[in-house]
Amino acid sequence: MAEWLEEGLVATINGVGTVFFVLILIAMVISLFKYIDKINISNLLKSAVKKTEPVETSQTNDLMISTSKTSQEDEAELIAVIVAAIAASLETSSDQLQVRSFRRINPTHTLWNRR
Amino acid sequence: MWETLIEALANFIHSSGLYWLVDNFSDMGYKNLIMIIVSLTLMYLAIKKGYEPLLLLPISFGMLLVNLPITFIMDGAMTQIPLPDGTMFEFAGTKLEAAATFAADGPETVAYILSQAKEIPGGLLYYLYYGNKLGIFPPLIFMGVGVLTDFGPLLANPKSFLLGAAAQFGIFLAFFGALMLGEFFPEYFAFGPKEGAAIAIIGGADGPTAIYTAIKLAPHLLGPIAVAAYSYMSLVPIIQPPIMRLLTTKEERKIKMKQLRPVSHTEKILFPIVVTILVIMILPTTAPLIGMLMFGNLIKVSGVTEKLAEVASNAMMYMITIFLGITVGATTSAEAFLNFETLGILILGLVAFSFGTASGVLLAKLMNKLSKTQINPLIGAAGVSAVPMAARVVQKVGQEEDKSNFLLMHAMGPNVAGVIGSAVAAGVFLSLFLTA
Repeated sequence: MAEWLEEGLVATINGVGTVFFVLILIAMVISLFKYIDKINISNLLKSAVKKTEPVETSQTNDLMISTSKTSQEDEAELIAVIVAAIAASLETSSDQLQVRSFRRINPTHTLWNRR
Repeated sequence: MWETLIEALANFIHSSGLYWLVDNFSDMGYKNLIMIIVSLTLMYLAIKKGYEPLLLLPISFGMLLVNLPITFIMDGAMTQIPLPDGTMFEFAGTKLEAAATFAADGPETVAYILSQAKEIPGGLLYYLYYGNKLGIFPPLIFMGVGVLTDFGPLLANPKSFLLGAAAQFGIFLAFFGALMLGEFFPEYFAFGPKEGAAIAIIGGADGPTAIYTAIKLAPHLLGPIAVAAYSYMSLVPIIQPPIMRLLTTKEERKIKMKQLRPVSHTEKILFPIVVTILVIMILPTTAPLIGMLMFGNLIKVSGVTEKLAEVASNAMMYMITIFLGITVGATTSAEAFLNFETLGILILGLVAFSFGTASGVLLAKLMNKLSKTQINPLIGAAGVSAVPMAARVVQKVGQEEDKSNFLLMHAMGPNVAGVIGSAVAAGVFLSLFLTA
């Protein structure tokens, strides 16, 4: 076979082969991407379950404070109100209190019901 | 006094470009004149017809500047060495290069050159051209392209990668064609494998990739290759539709494709990182092109470096475009451009382009036959990158058959896959021939 023909064939087979190999490889890896969100969601669910496990609160005289899991803003507002109420009942200012965690307790088991 | 004045005037006239042009007309002058007309034609196409004006205008202006007589704007440094007999010897190169050349004559000669010779710096575009020569400008443009490219449609339909690969067939066919021309008509076409590879990449329809490959493998052909690449890219709406219509049936062109799935932010961030690692691991020679393309994309999709993305895709890209365009234009001097090789490059470029389009469409046809979901074969044509023009052409040809058919997003997948495909093809050529 003529040298130029051989050279051309080698380069062409090599080239076409590599282009297809690389692009198919990327395509295969990329096609796995659609599972990423599913994994993410299942991870989120797992961590969400963990978060809802009870965590004891802090210095606030064993007060159990519940919070709703609506939006972040609602939560902040609720925390502010509760902290202010506790501060008033302890006759101190709200900056003397530190809130470490919140959880919502089953409504039938509120502090009022426990009494 | 009059005599001095007339002599000064005569000297002035003799040193003018016009005098040179008239004096050397039959020798070189007429070629310069032809090139000036070519540059003006390209300027007209860029300004009046809007053919890729962002690049064609700087290229054509660079072409004009370098072909205006005796500007020396693209010439390197010159060293004037006064000889003992009072005459002046001119050496094309720097003072150090002159000293090195005459080093064999002994240390006295070297010392004489270094102390007595005068170095005249090269032309403006000669130095700006270093950004191309050193392979800096094209990858930087690719970074901007990366910012502007949305890989979403490709992520939503990874099969598009196959079409991006198929459309690179044209490149290899043109490579073959170049080798053949070089073999059978060596007196007209001095095309070896390196030249063939550089020319063939025109079929990738990707300016920066074509320029980068040409600089690395066949810098003496850069001018014609760049002009051919950008001309054909601007002619995509004229070249592609007849081929697309020829290879598809009316029914196939009417196929409506399933809507693409939404792509998450995480996928978009992972894509450039994964592609960079995969491609560069396999083909290290693609690091400058793929690396910069993916980096550009990452700084956009990450969402934390908006300012970087903005600079890379606006101010910086336009700046580099100016430098790249005008210096590429400056490589098209009359002697480098007006020859049979340029003609060969233009023909081979067109072959590469047309066959790339055809192979993309044919593979899409095959995929349509084999796949469960319907694929409109027209989207295969977009595999020859030329982003986003080729995808727009698909949309247009599709709508000619059915006004309610929207193929643009489906065509964007193969379109951006083509960018990666042609960069990979360039990488293959570089790894085969760069050290050969």
